[in-house]
Amino acid sequence: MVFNSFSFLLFFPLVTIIYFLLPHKYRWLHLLISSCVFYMFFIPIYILILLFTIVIDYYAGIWIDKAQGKRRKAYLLMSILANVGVLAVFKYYNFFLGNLNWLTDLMGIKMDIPYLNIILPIGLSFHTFQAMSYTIEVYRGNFKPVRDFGIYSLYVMFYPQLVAGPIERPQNLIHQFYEKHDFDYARVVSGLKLMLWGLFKKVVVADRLGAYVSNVFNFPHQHDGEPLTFWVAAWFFAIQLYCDFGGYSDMAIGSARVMGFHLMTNFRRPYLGQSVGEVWQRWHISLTTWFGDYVFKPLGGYRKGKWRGIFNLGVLMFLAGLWHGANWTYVLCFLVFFVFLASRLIIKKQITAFDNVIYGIHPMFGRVVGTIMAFHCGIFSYIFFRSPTVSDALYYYSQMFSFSSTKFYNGDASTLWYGLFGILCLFLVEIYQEEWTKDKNAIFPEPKNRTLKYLFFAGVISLILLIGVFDASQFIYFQF
Amino acid sequence: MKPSASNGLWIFFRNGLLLLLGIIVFDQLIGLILHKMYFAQKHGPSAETTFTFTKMDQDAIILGSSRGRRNYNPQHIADTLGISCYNAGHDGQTIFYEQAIIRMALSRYTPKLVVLDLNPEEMYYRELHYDRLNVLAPYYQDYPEVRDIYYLKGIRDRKPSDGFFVAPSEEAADDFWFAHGSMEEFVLPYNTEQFKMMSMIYRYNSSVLDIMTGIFKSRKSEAGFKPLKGTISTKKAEELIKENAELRNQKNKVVDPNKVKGLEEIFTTLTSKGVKVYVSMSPALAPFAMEPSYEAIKEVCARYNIPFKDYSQDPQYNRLDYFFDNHMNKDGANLFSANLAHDIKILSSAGSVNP
Repeated sequence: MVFNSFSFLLFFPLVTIIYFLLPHKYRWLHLLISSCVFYMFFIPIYILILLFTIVIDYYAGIWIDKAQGKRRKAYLLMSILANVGVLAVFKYYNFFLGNLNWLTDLMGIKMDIPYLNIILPIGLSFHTFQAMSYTIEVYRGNFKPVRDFGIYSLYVMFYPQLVAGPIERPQNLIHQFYEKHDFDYARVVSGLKLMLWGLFKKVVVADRLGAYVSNVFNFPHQHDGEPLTFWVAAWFFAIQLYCDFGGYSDMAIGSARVMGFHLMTNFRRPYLGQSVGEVWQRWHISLTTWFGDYVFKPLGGYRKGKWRGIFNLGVLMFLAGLWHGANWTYVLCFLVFFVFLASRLIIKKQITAFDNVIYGIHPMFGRVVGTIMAFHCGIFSYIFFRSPTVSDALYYYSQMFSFSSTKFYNGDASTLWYGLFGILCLFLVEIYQEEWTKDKNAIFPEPKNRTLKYLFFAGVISLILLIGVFDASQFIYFQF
Repeated sequence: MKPSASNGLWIFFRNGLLLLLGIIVFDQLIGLILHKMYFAQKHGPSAETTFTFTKMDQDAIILGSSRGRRNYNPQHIADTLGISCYNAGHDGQTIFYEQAIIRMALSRYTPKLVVLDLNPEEMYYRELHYDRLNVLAPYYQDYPEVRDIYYLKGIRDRKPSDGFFVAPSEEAADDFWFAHGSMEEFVLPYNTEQFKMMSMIYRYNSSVLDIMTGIFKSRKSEAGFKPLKGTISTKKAEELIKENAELRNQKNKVVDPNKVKGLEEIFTTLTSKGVKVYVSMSPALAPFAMEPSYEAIKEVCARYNIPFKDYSQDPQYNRLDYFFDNHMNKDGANLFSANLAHDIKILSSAGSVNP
């Protein structure tokens, strides 16, 4: 089930109302059953994959807690292997086989290992990573294992964040299933507003820009000699990607908040970051901190010197790229971003001097320049992300810098104008959240007057109905 | 003071109802304004759809997608056959839209000839073609003839039963555990479009700019014909052919039973009223895939004894001078239309055009 579907419009209020009507001791069961239904709206049989990892990790957690010495590590490895094994089979098997075939072809060896013809289970990387964080935290002694199979299952399957995160940690989420959440008007309204904003980002901005982006990225040769078209499509894709995934995250966090659950922030207005490092810190926070906690820091982080730190960062970025998809384009996307991040460490003095110059002219000028530069660092990496193959991405770069003409593809004019209007709304609301309000939980610049407030929200909903895209679109990150 | 849980719940429902009321008022008010504006359009695709649905009275009608709209000059058919002719082609539309035109036209008058342009890949199932049914949404309220065609948007490949309840698709019924979306089909056996259409604004979703353009900008056509001006370059043509070849090799193409039904309905209703029907595949620069959509078209035409001619790869049009992109330019369209009119005249005089 997707959040922007009619099914969810029925599912969400029904599940939420029943949740508040039920006595506390039955709520976990209700949420678990609802989460199963939510997941089974995709391909029902795939729930068995979830069951497999849930059983393994649940018992692994208990055994790790009970065991001593090397056995603890053995149980942890068993859990990680089970999770990575599921990923390897369903997500990476064909990718590795393709690369193996390529290598053996180079060596003149003929291999006839068949490819698997299976559909990737939705959100597989998200829930396997969440499950792994549980056993790792138990192993590290940061978390006592849950002795309640139902609650552990709910930790992995909690529907708001089941298929596209945020990737939660046991310390943050599991205790919340034991707590009783009463109906809190302010919290419920805040959650609903966040869901509305997420929906706006998805259907008004992301899906609208997606039409233009798809036309250019899927048929780049039709736009030969139109560098401006390639630039615009790259800008649009950056915004589409953020609004698609950020919109989903907002709806996930908002729907959980309505029921009284606090999920971690996943995006913090990344394109208002003033440096590439700041963009990274604001983007897909639950995944970047996952890799930070479980890969980067155990490798030594920045503690073992600058160059070792850069190497560790490279490992993190390589794995983050591979996490996104079984395609070298994702790895290259993150490696390009790594080059930008690493350059900030390597030529730190020069960058600081440059910052001093631009901020010296005027703080606002420095800020604008920094933000634009950081945004473009993102763009250069996302081209790999969106291109089907590495050669397509290289072709795309070559067209961007061809400077051959000023011809511009404006496609369906309404796509462009609605898209630009959506971007303007996004920009104004995010500036409001970042700068103009002191309330950290504020979402919309809504009027204080009650009547005007109702009119404002009725207007936002009408706007979504008027210019939102309501086709059968999926979320980009579901494929991961 | 913070409200108690039960108090908060009451405030929530009260405020929720107020908001709902606000939304309904906004929806009806804005929807009404959009309705008036939509039907006040003078030019452009929406105005032409309204014309074909409500006022078209020409003897001959050309139906089709963008290829129908760009490749057929109705003047040639009018001049050659001595009857009035209108091009009712619409960019991006398929059989479903043509089905709606026929229903609307036959509710007012009986044309003498219908020329239906189909591309050889017309009958394949594509999600996008269902999304494009939103072009019928503004007519949902006032023209019940188009309603069940529009409902296909909400049920797609599922089996309609009585319009409101929808039976699950065969795939979902046969293979519940492995079919994508099967759970949804069983848990929510409803045509969700019926609920969505309760919103007046939704009927005009994404069309506000088109409406404004239709009111304020003159985009006249030549009896529905909208020729393309310019000629494709050799390089662009090569790229186009290459990209189309890649599209042709896409797997999992299946013939859409809803489209087959639509085509059958068009033939049945027209032939039962004595309307002559001619199916044509206009010239294309990049070759189309021929199987199995092509076979499905041929089979339905043969079953209803409808003359069918494939010009898509006719060598006499295989020149870049005649194409803008994969559509013909004005010169190409004029040449093709003149030849087509001639072919129809021969068939008519030989009595080969049904019935």
